[in-house]
Amino acid sequence: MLVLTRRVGERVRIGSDVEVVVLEVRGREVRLGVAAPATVSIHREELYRRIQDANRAAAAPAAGSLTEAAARAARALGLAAAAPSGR
Amino acid sequence: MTTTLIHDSPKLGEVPYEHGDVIRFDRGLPGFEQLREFLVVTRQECAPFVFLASIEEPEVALPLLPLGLIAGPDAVDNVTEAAAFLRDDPGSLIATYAVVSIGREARSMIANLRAPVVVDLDARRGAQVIMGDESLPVAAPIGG
Repeated sequence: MLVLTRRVGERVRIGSDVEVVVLEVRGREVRLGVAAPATVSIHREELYRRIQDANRAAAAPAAGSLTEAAARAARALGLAAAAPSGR
Repeated sequence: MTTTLIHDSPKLGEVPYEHGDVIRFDRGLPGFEQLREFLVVTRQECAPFVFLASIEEPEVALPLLPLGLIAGPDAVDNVTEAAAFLRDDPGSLIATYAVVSIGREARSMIANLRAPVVVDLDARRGAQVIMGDESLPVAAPIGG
């Protein structure tokens, strides 16, 4: 990992088209601005990890056959949609 | 002349496909960043679920639901707009899905509305797009 020290207002350039600027430091919090092309996705690390976990959970072995579980789930969705109101 | 290949999926069984059916995910998927080639597999008895099946790691198959079915047409429009980077042709046919975790006994289902899967059906490219709207849940319960 490359470690750099920057002051407020100073920038880091990543590759030719990604720029990170330190906007503000307030106590233990640092506000960063990131400029990058639309093709580069930028997210908080904890959100990315949650999505990783969600994908791994979705891909985890289902109880029994995956297609059987999906078929049951599809029927459950259909039943839920058809259920009369108030039940 | 097209050649029919067979994807042998432990979860989906044998899946015949042709080279043109392969969807390329240049960035992989979060949690599966190394995977690039996928198939969107349908099984009539599972509709409206479809499955995003990895060709490189056959154990990996993610259940998907059409995004519009669970989040409505506005969500589809928003995701389509966010996925503009995926398209060479602004008029290309786009499919949008939510990744769904199916719980034990299929009694509980969790849909990720924050990071839908988008497939450009014409260009045969896909991506999982992390939406900027922080109100969108990563784990939304669906079903009754």
